[in-house]
Amino acid sequence: MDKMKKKSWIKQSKIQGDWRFDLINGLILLVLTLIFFYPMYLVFISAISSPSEVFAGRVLLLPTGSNYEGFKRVMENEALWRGYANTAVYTTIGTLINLVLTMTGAFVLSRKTFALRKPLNWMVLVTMFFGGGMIPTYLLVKDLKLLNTIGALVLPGAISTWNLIITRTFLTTSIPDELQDAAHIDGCNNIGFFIRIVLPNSTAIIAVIGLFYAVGHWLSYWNAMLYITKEEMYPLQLVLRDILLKAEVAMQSARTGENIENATAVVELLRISESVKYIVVVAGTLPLLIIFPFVEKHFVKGVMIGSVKG
Amino acid sequence: MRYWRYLKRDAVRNWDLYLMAVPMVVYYIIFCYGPMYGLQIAFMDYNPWRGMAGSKFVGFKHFINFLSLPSSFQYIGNTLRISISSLIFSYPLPIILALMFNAMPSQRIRKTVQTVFYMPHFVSTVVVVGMLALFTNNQVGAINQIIRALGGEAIDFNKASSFLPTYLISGIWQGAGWSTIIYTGALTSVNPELYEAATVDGASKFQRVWHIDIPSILPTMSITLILAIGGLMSVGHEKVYLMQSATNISVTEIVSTYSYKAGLISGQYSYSSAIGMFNSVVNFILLLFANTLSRRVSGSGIL
Repeated sequence: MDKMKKKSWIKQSKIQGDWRFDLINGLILLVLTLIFFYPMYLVFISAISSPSEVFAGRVLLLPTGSNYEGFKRVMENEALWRGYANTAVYTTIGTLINLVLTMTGAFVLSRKTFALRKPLNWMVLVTMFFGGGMIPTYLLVKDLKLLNTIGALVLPGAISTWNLIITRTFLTTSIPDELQDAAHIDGCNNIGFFIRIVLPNSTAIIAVIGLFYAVGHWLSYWNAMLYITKEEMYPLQLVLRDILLKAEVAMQSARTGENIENATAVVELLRISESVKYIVVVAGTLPLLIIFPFVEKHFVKGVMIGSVKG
Repeated sequence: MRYWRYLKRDAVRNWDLYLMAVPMVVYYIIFCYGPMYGLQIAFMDYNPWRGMAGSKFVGFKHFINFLSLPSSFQYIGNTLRISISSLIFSYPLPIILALMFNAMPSQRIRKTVQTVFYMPHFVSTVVVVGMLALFTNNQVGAINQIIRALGGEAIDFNKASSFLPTYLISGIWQGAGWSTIIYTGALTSVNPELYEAATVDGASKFQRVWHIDIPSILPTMSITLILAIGGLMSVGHEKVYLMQSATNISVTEIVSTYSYKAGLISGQYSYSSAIGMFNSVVNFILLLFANTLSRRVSGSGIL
């Protein structure tokens, strides 16, 4: 064994192409990494630089000047903060509902003696290929009187079939049947077994799918666009859409309100609204990107569990 | 018969397990099978005031109306153009990236690089489109400023033909890194003895990638390809919708955005449901087609 290791090491050093391969591979990845990183970096430096410098194209590598005015405007933007607060509420409540439904559902589906296991598995799997679509779902939400309530955002997607299957896979492989039998002999019923044995042993999967669900709530705008029309209920993403993509709202209101006629003032306004957008992009993205490196391993694990049985 | 007896006994003995199944079953019946039942309005002239029972059955009228529309084929064409070109670009890239990550000698640098590549996945669609709008502003956007600084000719981003490249490149930025995970997972299960044996036989690093790494992720590659083909008609309408503008609508109106507008903005519920249903039927046919193809070629499918 030792001899073979040595031999392979000698062979390896003899192979001429390898250091070249590593070098080229490393260089390409380095360049790609910089390219992938640059857009986020550019937004960040543009947000903290002075708007006139950004407009002149002088902020492409390093920040210059400061953007106090822009930050003040963003801090004073009530809609943005309300959006943050709404999203925080929707994400918390939504994720809790997701977790309760997914964990109980996956536990039930993972019990091998459960008589309804097969039909219920089918009931779940069919929905991966067939669905009612946007309009029937909308009409259902409307008929249930959920429009403009938090229910419209947290109930229609309360279980993601994908996450349910990941969790079921995890539970079938990590909770042995013997444990269930032993618990039964000790007089523990199914609910007790679930709460006292299964949940404490599934923290890994709870973290994974909890993060999947939470990020999903945080990033989604489409459902809110369909179901929420009251502006004071807008989640962060809808507020961001209004600021970033509903063109020149600020400019129009300024124009009608103050009746600005000279061109320089209009350019100045455009400048401010554009620089506000940079700040808003940073404000809308930063929290998640700061947290991400710390929870990255859970996400990666989740995708990998999913790919095994996918 | 024996099954029913077993079910009855099981339901009595494990009644609390059945209780725990209730929330899941209720959810699926209401929010997944409810809309499927509601899909029948695609065959009716649905009137929201009278409800489904009071609405008239009209057969395939809405499907025919949609397909006889001169622009319907434009919408289908736009859908396929966007999705096929993103398939061509965004399918191979993660595979190449994953192989490159896997070949990196230093684990610590590799982790950092991967984190940078994963991050864009956590930037919301709204923000990505917002960033695009900022960067691609013809006068003051960063892209044209960089081009001008390098002495090139500025790009006109308001043209309809600028949409697709912008959409594809930003799509790669958003998804390429994240999609590598599934391949990275498959690569970690490669038996290290294979590498050793190959090295002993004098294989270079590139040959190891070519003869060991690629064959070992082939099954994963075929699954992701089938799923991608099955999703061809369901382009990310959330992003396309946000990127639509008056100047690019001729290439950005896809089936699902049209269906959204017909249904929720103009209130033609039945017509819109019919379009949505048409879309998913085409999708399902594509999925079956891809699956059969994969069975013939590689001997394995997902269905």
